[in-house]
Amino acid sequence: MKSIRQYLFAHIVCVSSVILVAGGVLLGLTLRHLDMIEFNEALEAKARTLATLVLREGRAIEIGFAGEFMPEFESTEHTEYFQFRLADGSLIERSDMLGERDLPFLLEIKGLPIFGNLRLPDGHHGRFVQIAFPPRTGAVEKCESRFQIPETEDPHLSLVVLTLARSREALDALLLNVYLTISATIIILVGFIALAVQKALRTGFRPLAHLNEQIACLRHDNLEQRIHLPDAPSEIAMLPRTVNSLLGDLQDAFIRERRFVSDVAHELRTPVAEFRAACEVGSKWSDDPDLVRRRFENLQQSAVNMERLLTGLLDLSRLDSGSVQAQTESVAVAALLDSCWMRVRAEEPEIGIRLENRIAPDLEIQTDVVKLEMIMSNLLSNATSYSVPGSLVTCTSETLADGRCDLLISNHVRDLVQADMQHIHERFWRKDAARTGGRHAGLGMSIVKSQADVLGIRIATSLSPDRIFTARLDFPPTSLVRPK
Amino acid sequence: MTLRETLHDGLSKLGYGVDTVGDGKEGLDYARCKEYDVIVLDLMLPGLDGLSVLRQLRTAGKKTHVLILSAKDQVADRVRGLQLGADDYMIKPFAFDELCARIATLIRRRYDSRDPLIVLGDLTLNTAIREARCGRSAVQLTPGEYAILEYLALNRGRTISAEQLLDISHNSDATPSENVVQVMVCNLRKKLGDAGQATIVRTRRGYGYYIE
Repeated sequence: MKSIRQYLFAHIVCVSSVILVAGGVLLGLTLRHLDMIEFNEALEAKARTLATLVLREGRAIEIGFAGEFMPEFESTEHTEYFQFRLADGSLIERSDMLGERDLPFLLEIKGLPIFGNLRLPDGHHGRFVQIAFPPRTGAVEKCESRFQIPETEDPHLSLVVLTLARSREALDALLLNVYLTISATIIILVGFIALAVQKALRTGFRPLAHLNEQIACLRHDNLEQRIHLPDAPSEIAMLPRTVNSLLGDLQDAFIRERRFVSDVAHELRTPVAEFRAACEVGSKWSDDPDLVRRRFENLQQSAVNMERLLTGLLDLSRLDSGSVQAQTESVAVAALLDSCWMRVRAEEPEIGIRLENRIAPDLEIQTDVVKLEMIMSNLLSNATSYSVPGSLVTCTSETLADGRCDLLISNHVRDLVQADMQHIHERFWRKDAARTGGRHAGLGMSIVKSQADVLGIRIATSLSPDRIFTARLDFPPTSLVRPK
Repeated sequence: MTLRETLHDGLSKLGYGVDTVGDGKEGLDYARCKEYDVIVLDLMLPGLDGLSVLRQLRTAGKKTHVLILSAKDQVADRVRGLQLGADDYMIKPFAFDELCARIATLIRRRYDSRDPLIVLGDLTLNTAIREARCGRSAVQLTPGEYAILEYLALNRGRTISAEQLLDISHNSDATPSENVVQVMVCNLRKKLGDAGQATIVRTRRGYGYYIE
């Protein structure tokens, strides 16, 4: 499994190592170059010093070299070597330690010193410099050691070429030390960087590790757990909040689902019991036509009640799925209310509840007529079922200053109390725990709420001290409400 | 309501005198005022819930056997119901025959009888299946006649008034006169007489009926 921490660690350490090695190489090369320049300058300076020993008088050249003053040319340790030649290669003089061997002689003479590496006669690695110079003019002693330039017209022959070589082992040792020091420094620095990066990553990733541990402990059966990250960095500050919010939603959904399944099972127990008891009693005394007829009537009533329950559940399921869309059109509210009332009253004609429709007859709202009809029918049906017998259901509209419109449906309830108001929109909740009559499955207000959500209507319910229950439908400002 | 009607019809067909009400308060009034062998009590009742009815019944000293019949199936619900003094608990949906058997058991318990068979000489009553037999042949009785015979047998040696017999054989909504009991007892004697048991149900004039 990929690890961000390991990736970052490897990446940072690798990049740091490459940068350090590159820096080390650059530093080494720079130091080598500077040392080499210094070495070359010293070598050239020595060569120039030697060059001053060369005197010329006419065609005679004398080299005033004295071994006792320059013992390095005659010592067996750290020996230095020189060689004087004419430009045509004619040997003028060379150090005794060379014996019969020659130092390099490069024919290309441009006036600039030429440097190079060589293997010294004593077997050590060495470096040489070759310079060409016109010898000083002065009185040359007439001795055997003087050199006679052959007669020639070539002006170059008037130049003397000096090759000076010395061991470079001290330089190589110095450079090796420099390289080793740089390498050791790089290794130590990489080690420090690795430790520092590891510590920084461990510290930096600690909140993620905590988060990981806590998330690993989450199970479907302990959804009440929450993520606690008091030291959450800003990069993941939203993560615990979002996860906790989702956990809360998930927990609520689980609770709702369990309660829903339990409620549905519970709701179905009674009609199933009615079916079963009616069937058993009916078949047991099938020779009693009166009893059998009553059982069939019971079965029909139970089936109608169950159908209501299933219709309500299907409506809610469709609304919950979010697939229900509003088909808006201009709706005459007062007429729609009257139409709903006629239908509701037809279901329970004997209750003696009256409707007072105070909505302006010309009030029109841009909304989905089918869904608004369902909302009104449910509210009116509840009003007829739970109102004080003979009381009045009042419907009014309020046009607000900002052009919105509120619709209010009020009725005088029998036994609703303030504590019941929090359960009003709960599925399967009924004030009458006995489900008397079976006309209401306890889904009406849930459907009203869901339908209102689809239409963008805010619905608020209230209960006054004198038990006037009011449902207020607050239509959205965009729904073109216009009293003509 | 449909279940209540079904149980009323079914139990009446079995010869029980059955009163049914759909309201907790009304049910409590009935239970306080009358002597029932068994009360079948739903928990979710309008007016007053079943557990409150049971609690008030026991507080008032009523020892009538109570069978709770409810859709509430949680162990906690059953435990609570039984702890409050219920004698049995059935969960909806249920088998009607099982309900009847449990009711019969509670009735037997009321009369301290573990055996469903009541033997009166050659006459044997099976309270579990509500059947009377004389020797090997069954005596064909109507539910009302059987109810009277069983009640007299369960209260053997005690004189039972015609009014009491009216209570156990008819529900409270019915308004039959005591003459109905006389007719039913007369028919019962005739059927038992055909089976050779004419003298088993006796009359104590001015008081009622008894079985020795």
